[in-house]
Amino acid sequence: MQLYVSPHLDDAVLSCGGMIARTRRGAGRAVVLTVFASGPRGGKLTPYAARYHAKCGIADLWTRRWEDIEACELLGAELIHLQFPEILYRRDHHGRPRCRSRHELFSQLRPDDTAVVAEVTSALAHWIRRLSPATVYGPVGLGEHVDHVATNAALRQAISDLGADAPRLLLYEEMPYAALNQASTANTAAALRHLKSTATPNTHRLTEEDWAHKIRAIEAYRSQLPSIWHGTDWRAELRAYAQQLVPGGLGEQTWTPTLDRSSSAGPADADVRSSGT
Amino acid sequence: MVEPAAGPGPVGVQTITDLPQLIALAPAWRVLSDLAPAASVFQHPDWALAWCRTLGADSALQVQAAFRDGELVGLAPLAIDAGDGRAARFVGAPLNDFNDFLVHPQDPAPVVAALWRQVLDPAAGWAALELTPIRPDAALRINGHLPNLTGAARELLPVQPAPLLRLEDDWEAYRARLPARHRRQWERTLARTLADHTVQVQPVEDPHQLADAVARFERLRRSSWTARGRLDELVPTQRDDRFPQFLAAAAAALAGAGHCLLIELAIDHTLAAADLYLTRARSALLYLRAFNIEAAEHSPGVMLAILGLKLLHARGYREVSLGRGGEAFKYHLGGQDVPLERVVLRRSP
Repeated sequence: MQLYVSPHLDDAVLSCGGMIARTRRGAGRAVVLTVFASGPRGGKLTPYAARYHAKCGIADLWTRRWEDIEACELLGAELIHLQFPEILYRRDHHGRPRCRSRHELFSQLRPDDTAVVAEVTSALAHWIRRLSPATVYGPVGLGEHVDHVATNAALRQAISDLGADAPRLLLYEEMPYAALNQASTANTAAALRHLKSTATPNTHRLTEEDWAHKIRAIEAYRSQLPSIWHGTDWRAELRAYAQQLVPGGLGEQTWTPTLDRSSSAGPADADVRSSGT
Repeated sequence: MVEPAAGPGPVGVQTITDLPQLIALAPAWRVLSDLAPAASVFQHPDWALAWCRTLGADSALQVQAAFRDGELVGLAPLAIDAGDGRAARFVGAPLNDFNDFLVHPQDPAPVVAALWRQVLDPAAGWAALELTPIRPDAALRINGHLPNLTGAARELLPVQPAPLLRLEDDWEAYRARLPARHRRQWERTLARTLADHTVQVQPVEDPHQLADAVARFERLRRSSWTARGRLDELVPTQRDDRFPQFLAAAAAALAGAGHCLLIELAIDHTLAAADLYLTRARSALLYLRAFNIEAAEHSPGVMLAILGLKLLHARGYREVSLGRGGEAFKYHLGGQDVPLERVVLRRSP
């Protein structure tokens, strides 16, 4: 069983749709878990979220949930929607919006994100224990969207907390950041540099059939595609990147975090592993 | 017998009374079924032949086949139940949600007239003719009406509803049209389940997989009726030991022609509910439903109704008949009544 952890309602399918299709083609079980699948508590948008919705034409959460349900159906994947609100809708315990500008949408975690990361860590650990996946796929955090960075941090922590029982963790490169060669932006370039020094790349070869399934599934996110790809030919961009990974073929890329356990494991984790050997 | 026709040529009608003859007609029947605009899956040869080979084995076929210029242009698929007062019924009855003649769209009136002439002929040998259930747009109607027969009593049975749902091209437009109370309730149920369980919506349409899937479906359906102590509420034909065999054979054959789709809902990797749809072009008919009583806390039937509609919508279906019966959920989903007429003609002894 493979567990694909998606920060938002589209990331896993956009980035790993081919691998999910490949898993299903081999009669394997694939589960797509979306962490931030909830809207604003009480339904009221923050002023910035209202502006962002209007500017980018963001659809309401249920429209996006229905699209994700359709995409997962097309891939034959099971799905889970956790009820954490996206950063755009989050407020601190005083009721203040977490995000007031685009800069705050794409940035490193702040101290007031700790509580969310802890809650997400706990939820992910719960699901990993419950599903016992052989491999968990999570986002690298390219582009530094706060929800992606938070999911990455929470997933690494959950894996670390599980110690010897933890499944294999592979980090996937998020689309569209990887495909649109956005390494020129400082955040993405920094994330890639960090990745190359702390992880080893894996290329996953796909068939044309897997690719066709991925594209059909991405097409389900019809309300999202314009704001993600800004009018670019997304099919061509994705294909070009996939061909770049596998000369003469198609692929998707993940990274194995080589320093993951040693860097994040605390003494308790070390005890568990040493006692098990 | 030759009927004068205003169309390209005269219409001749042949009576078919044995199965091998009917099987031989299947290729032309398929072509006619594809051409007939109002035909339902219940008039498709794959459905009818599966019934003839299983549940209908005890009935005497009396199928009227109309030809014009050597081409099959009409079919009145009837069978006489010798054990039930020589009642003539449509092949597949009482399992069919809609019954009708199959009629070529070009110059249909002479074909319908010729078929009726044969069906109503005393030589047909029936004591009762069950014209039920018949849609308002059925091809067998003459000027919108079912025929009268001199010397025969006409028994009118209560009209049955068959709610029909039309879906807009934009799913969100349909979603917005749903009664707010029900939409919120369904979406809350779905959100709660998606947060606490893995959910999978799985269409099964491959003929090779469908026979097994339909057998699984039928076991689930029977077990839920049995667990609720309501098995005897199913129509007797559905309790017949041969029914699962009929359903699996019909579904697999229809799937081969793209006319059958089973949608399964799994919660935590366990089958929670399944809906069997019969399809034609951009129309689908919700034929039978099953749910796992152990998953009742998730309201899987309600969830699958809306999830199934989403799946059908994504595949281009824009008209969904919710089948015979006026269950509340059909109206909550936006179904509008289509009245099904039910008439029995009885000849004096």
